[in-house]
Amino acid sequence: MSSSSRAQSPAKRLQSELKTYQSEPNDALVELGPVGDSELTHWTAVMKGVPGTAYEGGRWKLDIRIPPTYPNAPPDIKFVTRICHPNVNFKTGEICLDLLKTTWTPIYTLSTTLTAIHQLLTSAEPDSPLNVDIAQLFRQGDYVGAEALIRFYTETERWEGR
Amino acid sequence: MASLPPRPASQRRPSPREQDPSSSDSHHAQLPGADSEAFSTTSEDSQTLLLNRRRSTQPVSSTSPQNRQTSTQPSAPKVDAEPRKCWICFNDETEDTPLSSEWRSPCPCVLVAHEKCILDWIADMEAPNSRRRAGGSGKVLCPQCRSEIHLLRPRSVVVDAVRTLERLTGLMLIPGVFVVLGSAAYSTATMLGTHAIYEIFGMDDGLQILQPLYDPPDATEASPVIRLLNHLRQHWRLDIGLPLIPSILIASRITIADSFLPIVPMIFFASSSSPDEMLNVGHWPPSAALTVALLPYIRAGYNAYYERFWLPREQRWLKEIQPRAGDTPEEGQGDNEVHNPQHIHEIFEDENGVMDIEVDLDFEVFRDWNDGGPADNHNAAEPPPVPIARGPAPPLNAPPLGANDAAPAPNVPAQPRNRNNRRMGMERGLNFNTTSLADTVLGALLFPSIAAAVGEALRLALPRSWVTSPVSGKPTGLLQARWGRSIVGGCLFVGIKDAVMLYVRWKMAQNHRKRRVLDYDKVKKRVIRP
Repeated sequence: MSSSSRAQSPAKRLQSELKTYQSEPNDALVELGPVGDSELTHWTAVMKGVPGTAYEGGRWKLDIRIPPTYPNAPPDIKFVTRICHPNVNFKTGEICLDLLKTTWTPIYTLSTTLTAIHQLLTSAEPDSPLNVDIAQLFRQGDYVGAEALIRFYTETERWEGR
Repeated sequence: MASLPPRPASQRRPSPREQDPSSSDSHHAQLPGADSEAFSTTSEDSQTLLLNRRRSTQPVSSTSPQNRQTSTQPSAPKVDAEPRKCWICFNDETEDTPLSSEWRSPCPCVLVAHEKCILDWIADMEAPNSRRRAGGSGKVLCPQCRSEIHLLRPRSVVVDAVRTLERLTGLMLIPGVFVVLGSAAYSTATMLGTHAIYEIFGMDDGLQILQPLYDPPDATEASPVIRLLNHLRQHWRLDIGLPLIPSILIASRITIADSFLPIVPMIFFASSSSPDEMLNVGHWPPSAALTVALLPYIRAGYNAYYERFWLPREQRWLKEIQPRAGDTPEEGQGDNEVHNPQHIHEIFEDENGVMDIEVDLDFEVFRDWNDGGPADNHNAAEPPPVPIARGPAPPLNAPPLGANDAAPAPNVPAQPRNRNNRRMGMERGLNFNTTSLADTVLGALLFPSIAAAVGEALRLALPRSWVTSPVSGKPTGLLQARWGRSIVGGCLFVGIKDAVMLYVRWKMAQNHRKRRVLDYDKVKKRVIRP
């Protein structure tokens, strides 16, 4: 039985997710979908900033790789556009979010996962940093400095593609 | 990416394009009639399951050989309900094929899924290598309502046992590491303690004290456990006391221990098995046990004396050789050195906080150039022997007798003690830097050897009659036994070291005041010396 169920690739579910996204767009995203017509396991997304925060007005492109065991295994999501955030590696774009690692369950979709990442923008965890510099500012309580730095990168790195 | 938003999902997949739009978008609404088509299209390509199956679901699953029949199948037909949608594969029941597995609703909430999808998901979670395994309690929880999803699985005693065992080993890992590290530390401490005993007491007395450790195991007792218990019962003082020696040596170099070190001898007095023999306070020389037990008090006394009497002076001397630029009013006078003791005193008071820090730092420097390890040992001197005394005390050769030598002994210990204290005070602020920590520990551990060496030097230096026991009868002086010389030697070392350090500091302060910059005589082309 396991072989037959394994044979079921994530393709169908991904199509279904895509359809759902198109009928119910995600407010946090500008776009979400496969990179090309032929490759359903490689998606890309563009995320909006959060109004009223230092991330206001930002646009970030994200790269989404879907493993063959999806949805049992979480997708691999990285920021392509550089973002200044305590839990995101500034250079590689790697995201430190438990949802993408230990607490993943198939009930999440790519869209809800991206919503979670969007929420991470405003609820950083400076105690498990991937960006030590900005996390240090947070830990020292230098919110003014941190915000200035974030705004700077939000503007200078803004994704203008398309 | 440019093509994304407006297009229908189906366009992404060229081949099934024709079929998809009709199937995926509209099938719920369309009812029967397409069954035959559905069957024909499913088998080849799992993606192309089309057509609605709502009506046909029941019949198909009940007749199809692939599907297992179960009573739990939620069969309530969907008269007007929406089609059930699997929360894992996101297919709804209109997309089911004959190959699709049954629907399960394992928890109170609305989530339903294909049995295969759930089993797959669980298998993935339970896979031995899965990173999610870590906190795995073995329970599968519904991601939405957090209630447990129950599985009926064939049980195998062996598999269960191994699994339980694996979990237990996992649980034991951390404690196991601590046990191993702990025993290593215990063994090391015991070894150091043994070494300290031999150093202080010498071979003969040391052997006597440690004799039980070398006793062959009682051969009449077969069970190793009983043997171990017997050993523990008879020699627990050694088992506890030996590792305590290095611990207390180190503790005695730190101020934290000041509060409890004086209590240690109390325990010793209270627990000593033959108080009479040990507490012959009136006799001279005192027993080894008593002497050692008194060390913490001597240490405390010396420290108090030093702190009260010498520490202020030392600080003043240290202060004098500090560059003063910028921190004192005298700066304006152009003379950076303040010679006037009163001035110094004022400064001292004004900047108490700053000064302490400076003094601490200086200390470190001095220590380093002075004599590194040994210099710091004073602190450790007395306390270490205490634990030793508890166990072996009675057997020691410490017959109380005449009081002739009384004078020298008390004096000597008193001084060394003080040394330690003041050092301790200074070290307080620095204890957490690595260098001084290593310094403290190494010094403490070396101290027994140093004490023994000084004791040995005493033996060679003093008149024979002082350091040799009478041929018959009991010793008449503290220095006649090796342990006595070692203890006195340790105290002496601490005292002398502190004295030398004080002298150095004083001398440096003196010299500091007399410094002059020499002029250069350009005619003679050399420095003009006064």
